[in-house]
Parts: sequence; structure tokens; C-alpha cells
Amino acid sequence: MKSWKTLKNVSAAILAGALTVSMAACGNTADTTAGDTKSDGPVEIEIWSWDKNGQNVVDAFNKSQDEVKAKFVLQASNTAIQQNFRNAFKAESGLPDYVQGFAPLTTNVANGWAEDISESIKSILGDYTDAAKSNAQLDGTYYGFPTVGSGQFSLINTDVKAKYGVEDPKTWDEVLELGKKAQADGVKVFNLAGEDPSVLEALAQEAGANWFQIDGDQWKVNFLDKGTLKAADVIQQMIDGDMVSNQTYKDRPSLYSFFDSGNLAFMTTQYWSINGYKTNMPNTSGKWEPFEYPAIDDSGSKTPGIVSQVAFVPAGTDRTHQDAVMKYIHFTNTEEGIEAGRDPETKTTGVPQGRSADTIDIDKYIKANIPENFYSDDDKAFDVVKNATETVLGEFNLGPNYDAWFPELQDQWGKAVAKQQTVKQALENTQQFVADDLKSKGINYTIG
Amino acid sequence: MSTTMSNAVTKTKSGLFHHGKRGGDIETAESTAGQAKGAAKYTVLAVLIFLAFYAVAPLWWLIVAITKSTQTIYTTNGLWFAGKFNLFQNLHDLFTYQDGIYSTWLWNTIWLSSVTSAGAMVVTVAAGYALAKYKFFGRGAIMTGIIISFIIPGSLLTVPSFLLFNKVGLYDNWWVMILPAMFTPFDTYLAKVYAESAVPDELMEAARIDGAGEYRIFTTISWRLMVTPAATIFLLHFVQSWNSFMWPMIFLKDYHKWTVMLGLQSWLARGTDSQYDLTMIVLTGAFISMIPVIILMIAMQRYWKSGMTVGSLK
Amino acid sequence: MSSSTSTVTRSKGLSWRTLQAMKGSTFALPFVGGFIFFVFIPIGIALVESLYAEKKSGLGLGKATRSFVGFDNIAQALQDTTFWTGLGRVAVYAIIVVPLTQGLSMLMALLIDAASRKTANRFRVLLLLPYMTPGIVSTIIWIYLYSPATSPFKGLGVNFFDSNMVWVSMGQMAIWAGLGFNMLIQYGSLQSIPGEIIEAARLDGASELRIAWSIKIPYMISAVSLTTMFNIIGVLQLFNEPYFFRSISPQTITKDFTPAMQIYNEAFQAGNLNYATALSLVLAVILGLASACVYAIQNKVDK
Repeated sequence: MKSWKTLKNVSAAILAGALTVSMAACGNTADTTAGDTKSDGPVEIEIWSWDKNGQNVVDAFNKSQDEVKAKFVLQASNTAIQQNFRNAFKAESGLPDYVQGFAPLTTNVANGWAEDISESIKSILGDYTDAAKSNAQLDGTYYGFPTVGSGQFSLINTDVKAKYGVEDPKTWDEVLELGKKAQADGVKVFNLAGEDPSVLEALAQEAGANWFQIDGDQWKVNFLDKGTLKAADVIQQMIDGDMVSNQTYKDRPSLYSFFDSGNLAFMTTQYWSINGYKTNMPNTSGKWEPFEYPAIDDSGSKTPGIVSQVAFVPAGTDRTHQDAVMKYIHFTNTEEGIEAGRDPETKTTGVPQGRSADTIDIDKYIKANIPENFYSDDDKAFDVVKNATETVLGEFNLGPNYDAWFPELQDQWGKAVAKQQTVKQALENTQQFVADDLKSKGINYTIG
Repeated sequence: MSTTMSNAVTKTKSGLFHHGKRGGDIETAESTAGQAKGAAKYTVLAVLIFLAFYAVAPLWWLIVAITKSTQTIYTTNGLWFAGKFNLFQNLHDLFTYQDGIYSTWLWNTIWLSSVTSAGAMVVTVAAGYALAKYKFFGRGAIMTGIIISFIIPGSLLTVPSFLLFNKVGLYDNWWVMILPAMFTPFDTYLAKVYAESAVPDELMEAARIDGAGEYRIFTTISWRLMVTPAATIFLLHFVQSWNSFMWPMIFLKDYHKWTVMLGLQSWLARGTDSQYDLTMIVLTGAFISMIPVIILMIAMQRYWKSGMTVGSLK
Repeated sequence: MSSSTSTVTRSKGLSWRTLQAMKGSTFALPFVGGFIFFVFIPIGIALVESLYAEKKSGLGLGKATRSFVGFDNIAQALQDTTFWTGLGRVAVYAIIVVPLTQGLSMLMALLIDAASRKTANRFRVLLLLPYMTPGIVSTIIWIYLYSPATSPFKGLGVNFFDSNMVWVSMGQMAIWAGLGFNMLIQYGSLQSIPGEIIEAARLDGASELRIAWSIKIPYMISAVSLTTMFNIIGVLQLFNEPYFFRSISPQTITKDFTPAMQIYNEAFQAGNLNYATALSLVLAVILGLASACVYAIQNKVDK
């Protein structure tokens, strides 16, 4: 038995050795990342992203200058970039110099993934708006690249509006009023997807809530502050009054066909959803009137936009490479860089949100993202989208354990939408979960 | 090799196949004994048609879908053709999207699946044969190891595999797609189960008495009896390899090396997360990706002849 | 070659057998080598994770400290009510879905065997199509066929997305997708039935049903117990279907609805690989027990 074991061990070792040698002989494994720091040649950096047009941007960047040579690695999806980054981080090898965002800022810091780039980023801070900058800092330190959420705005079906003789609802209370009227005819005022609590987050943000705040050496956790409870109340009234539909985003055919049936009065959305609506909602195209996000309190309309994906520089990247990354990112913030990222198939490009108006003429990108004959009024649509883009709120900290609590919030939210519990109970349960999870991880916190 | 031995083997072979219409050449031997006769034949056919309908009907939707466009796919009846016949446009879009990368992915998948399935077939059929037919020391340990590998959730092994293979240079490299897949415990287990009944012990004993060595027995007799199991293993492995996307996602850095399923997953993920709808390209790509597997299946029909193996010594 | 032949003839008794077995074992060597390196070592590395825990302090920013906790994680897993509830769910599901899947695939294998070769060839491909359908495509197809908005069955008044129907809908998807695979493996085992036995039975006037029941099915037992074992292991690790239905019926299908979903959530969402490994270990032991039961039953049937 013993000799068999030894034989096994030896053969395993031999095999492992043989493999190492043969693999090395095959070449192809040279790791060119984060290596070269020779002063003569260009600094080499590696960029990870799942934007398929990223290669074109990197090519254009490499052509535009000769100090930095960027290498682009296309990732299959958001899931892929996350898993591959985690693996490389654990293996401590093959890490890139820049990663497209896949998790919230605080998560990146909490896991030790993100490097403090407060110094190197100074050179490009002028490219961004204040809201974007606030989303890249944790307690005054830059751990990621400035970015903003896509500003939310409202759409109302003009047929429904005419039928009930109402104005655009300026506040959520007016949305509820319209909901009551419409409900009598089986028309729903809003859609709440059971898997997507982002409406709750958005309303809470608008109402001034902060679920996670740093308070010295501990986290101040509060899912039950005045703002969040106000948001919960609005949603609860809609659920209790049977004013909402529960179409899931997984079942697109159903979702589109319901939205297009004329039985949905109102929705909140962002600019990049509109192309899909335009394509799949032929009956109601041209009947959607855009206007600002409804106000939740007396302080007027605000534009929620929660950022849950922040790009960062992996921990351990030296200053030379950081500076090289900044040069690349600055290039992507220029008109030339944005043009290089234009999709060759659809000839479209996104709206460069969060960029300072001094460097970018954002108007033309917004115009290009207004499809013909979807909105009831294209000029108004332009104003609304532009306003949403420019006034979107920043700073909504998602805490050090977002990965753990977000699925829990989803569960709780699903039950609330299905009337198995109240929205407030859902929040209480989620807060309890957050507390237990932080405790088990040894992280300091206080509630409220 | 001595002439006496080759004679012995020939003798063994002919001695084994003297029953009924089973001729001397096992590769063409065929029996219709299992087939139903008389009225039962029609019952069999009727039930088969019903089951085939259940199996195929859902795919009808896919066939209809790829002739439509993004505008009509969800707004017209999914079970019948409607609107402009858009199949050729979809095919054109599929093969030109992202600089026509789909053809590269398709080719990668074809050769990778073929090579790994052939490799896995050889390695696991040999191993399964050894485990079924020889009571050697350590056999129990190997079987236990195989069973353990079945019950550990595979998703948990991705991280350790990455750490280990990365260390030995198996990263972003074709070998990482080929080598680990050749040692699939499931295939070995399956080969063992098949070998137990497909290769009669009596036949091996007869060959031994005739003076054949163990390697000789395998190369002249046993492997022929395992053609159907081997073909089954090849096909199962091929389909599995064809549909895998996790492994290439983790181990292949350059998207030119990706497989078809990873590519389609990637398009689907991007299509729902961004403003550009890639549904038509994904569906068309998925349909096209099924064709090579179907062709392979049809081409391999000849290995599933009924009544090919021999158990008559029992 | 010839020298080994002479050795065989010279040796007698036990040593002769041993030598033969040793020679035979060399057929397994390439597999064993690769298996140890590519499968077993990663399993070993994974299992070590279950003995460690990660702790943070203060605001919890930065890398966690790793410490050895022995069997604490396993002990916690054993007391995890969410885990056991999930396991109970999939166990009940398995009791219904596994026999259905196996019965239906056995029926298909027997029918293909009983059909003429031409018919068999044609139908084999058709019956295998679901198995060849890539997962992402079957998901898209079933969304369409189930969705209350587009389903061709909506006239029947059945809502496949209703939370009461979720189990039926999931089971149906799983059965459809699993048919071909099981059938193919089971059909392989029918190949070793000697034709004379069936011909003799037919001459004795046995009906086709009787032949299938008394001759063909006993030959299928080892293959069927293999597919059953895999079916059980697969179902107890149920993940894809509930994961898909999570957004359709979130109030029913929570993030840790099945043990596999809980493990996935712990490992890849919450980043708690240590605890996820401990949970897998507990699940593995249960799967091992379930497989052992299948074998015990098979042995009884064989006798």
C-alpha cells in the first residue's frame, strides 16, 4: 500500500513536471502584463473590458502617441470579467492595469482589489463632472474612475394621459392619483419587476437616503431612515392599490407586449433602453411623452442614478503604469476616443455621461440617441435626456458587502411585490441580514 | 508475433460468431432479433412519432424565429412565418458581425471538440476496459476517486483548477482546452459499465488459452467489441465539449480562441445589457452551431448497428 | 510481446493471475495519471478551503486575514436550516422527476431497439435533438413557450409562470433536455443482448412487451442505474432551471432555494468560498449516500 502511494506521488510529480516543461516549450504563455518598466520603450499596459469596440479605441490610442502601448483583452461578459479578475487576483498573476467596472466602488476596496490612485488621477480630473468624481472616492480617496449612473427620467403614454385628462405627474403623489383612476379600467400606472429592486433604491436616493455611511472606524447602516421609508410608502401604496404590473425583464416578449398594449400608463427609464422599446413596441411608438423624474418630496425633482459598477486600477499597479493608464483614459474622454468606440455595425455610440462640458459636446451624442418616432416630442426628449444626464445624483454608498446583501434585497423585494410582506418589512429584513453579515465578517457597524 | 498465435485468434473469432446469421466479420454482423414483429411494429412506430414530436416541436420555434427580424420576432406569432423572410439577412449579419468572428469560433469548436473527444475516447475506453476486466491492485481506489469526483459540485473546481493550471503554464493556451478534457471520469465510468457486458470474460479466457497476451487480446478482439460504447462516449463528449463555455471563458484570454458557445453567451449578455439587440444574431448563431453536431450524429449512425456484440458464450 | 506470452504460459496460479492483472492495469495508467493531476489535485485544493475562514476588521476595507478554523465551517453547514430546507425541496423534486426521466428514456431506448434499423436511425437523431440544443437556446425557447403573453398553450388557461406552477414548469424543461442523454447511454447497453435469446423467446410465443420486460430490461439495469445515479446527482445539484425561474417568480425562488444555488451564491456572489466549500462537502456526502442506495437497489435487482 505504501509503495503504491509513493508510486502515485512520484508519477504525479513527474507528470506535473513534464507538463510544465512541455507547456513552456510550446511557448505562447509569455506574460507581457505589467512587466516592462524600461525607460526607453513605451510603457505597456493591459486593459480588460467587455466592450467589443474597446479594441478599436485601444488601436486608435496606440496610434495617437508612442509613450504608452496598450493591449486590449476582450472579456465575454460582466460575469466573465468578474470571475477572471477574481481568479487572477487569487493567483497573483496576470492582472491587468485597468479593469472595466463590474462591482461597486466600496466592494472593490473592501476586497482589496482597487489601488489608491488619488495622486495619478489628478492629471485627468478636469475631464469629469463633480457628481462623477464623487462616485469614484471613498472617504476622500480615489479608488476608481469617475462615472455616473444613467440619469432616470419619466415616460407617460399620451393616450392614457388624454383619456384621464391629466398633466404629466410632477410628483409621485400625482403618479399615485393617476394610478387610482387608471386602475378602475385595468390600466396599470407602473411596472415593478419582482427581481429588480432598483426602483426602491432610486426612490430612496431621490428622497435623500444613505444606506451606508462611514462614521470613523465603523459603518453607519440605515435602511429605515425617513427618506427610504417615504420611498417604501409610495411603492407600498402602488402595490396595495393594485396599480402595478409585475413584468419581468427576463421575459422580454411579455414585457414589450404589455408595455405596448396601451395598458401601461407610466414608466421611468434611461436613454439606453429606448432603442429596445422603439424596436419592440410598434403600436405605442410616438405616444411616449418624456418628462423629468417625479419629485418625492417638496424639494422638487431630482435625477436618481445609482452606480454599481466602477472601473479601477488593480492593487499593486506601480505609479508608472498608473500614469500610463491615465493617459489612456484621458484619450477615451476625448472626442477622438469616443469616435473610435463607435460601433461599426450600428454606427452608434453611447452618451459620454459624467464628462465635463468643457471637453465634450454632449448634445450631439444625446441627439444621436433619440430614435425617430418613439417619443411624442423629440425636442422635449432632448431636453429631458440632457437634463437627466447633467443633473444625475452621485454618492450612494452600497457598503462593503453589497455582493452579499443585494441578492437578499432581491429576495425580500420579490416577496413584497407579491404582497407576501410589506416593503418596510423587506427593508427591515435586509437591514438585519446586513448586520448579521457584517458581524460574521468582523466588520464594525452601527444601525441607524 | 508467432503464426500459431494469429491462427489462434482467428480461430477464436470464427468460433465465436458461428451462431445464426452472425457472420465471421463482426464489423458487418447484424441482427434484427431485437426488432418488434407484427402489429407491435405499428405501436412502436406510433409511440416513437409521438415522442419525436415532443422532442422536436419546441425547436420549431427556433426555425421560425431565425427567418424573422428583431422587429417581428416578438410581435408576430412565433409558431409560423410572418413578415419579411429575413433568414439570409440574419445569416449575413451573423457571419459579418464583429469582423466575422463567428466562423473562427465555429472552426475552433469543431477541431477542439474533435480532438478532445477522440483523445478522451481512447484514454477512457482503455481505462474502462482495465477497470472492468482486470482485478488489479488499486482498482478500488480509482473507482472511489471517480465516484468522489462525481459528487463534488463542478463549479467549485474552477478556482483551484485555475490556480493549479496557471502555475504549470496551462493558461491562454490550446492545451488547457485539450488535456484536462481527456481524463473525464464520467466517460471512464461509462466505458467500464459497457465493457463489463460487451466483452465476455469467456472470450478473453479462450484467447488466453490460445496463447494471446493481454495487449494482443485488446488490439485484436476487445476493442472491436467496444465500438458502439466508444462511439457513444465520443458523441457524448463531443456534445459536452461543444456546449462548454465556462472553461474557455476562464482559461482563454484572446477572443479569437473562444468557442462558439462562449461567443454566443457573450453576445447574449451584451445584447441584454446594452442598447443594441443581438437576439437575432444569437438565435441564428445557435441554430448554425447545432448543424455540425447533427451531421456528426448522422455520420456516426453506422456505429449503432443493432446486435453487433457477442454474448452468446454466456 | 512474445516474451510476455511465454511468461504467461510459464507462470501458474495466483502469480499468473497477478501478472495478468498488472498488465491489464496498464490500460488505465494514462487515465489515472491525468485524472490525478487534472481532477483530483484541484478537488484537494478546494477541500482545504473548507478548513479556513476569512476575517476582517474595522471598516472591512482591504484584504481579509485568513485563519485556520478546522471543522467550524462544516459544523455551521450542518446546522444551516436554509441548506437543509433547500435539500428537502430538491429531494421531493427528485422523487418525481428522476423516475419520470428514467422511465421515459428507457421507453425511448426500447422503442428504438424494437424499430427497424432505418426507422431507428431516423428517430434516434430526432430524439437526441433536445440534448444537442445549447442551454442558452433552450432557455430562450422555453421563455417563449411558457410566457403568458406568447405561449401557444395560453388557451388552456395554464400559466407556466405562476408560482404554483414553477415546479411543473422546471420539471418539464429538465425532462425535455435530459431525454436524449439518458436514452443514448441506455440504448448502448441493449446492444449486448444475444439475438438468439430474443429469437427463442419469440418462438416460444412471448409477446413484445414480455420480451422487453423479461429480457431487455434486465440487460439495461447496470446502464439504467448509472443514468439514475447521475440523474439523482444532477437533480440534487439543481441549479439552471431555478436560477432561470428566479426572475420569473422571485417570491418563490430565493437566492438559496436549492443547495446548489446557495453554494453558488456564497462562492461567486458573496465571495465566501470557504463556507461554500463546506456546504459542498456536506452535499457531497449526501450525494454519496444517495448513490450508494442506488447501488444497493441495483444489486438486489440483479440477484
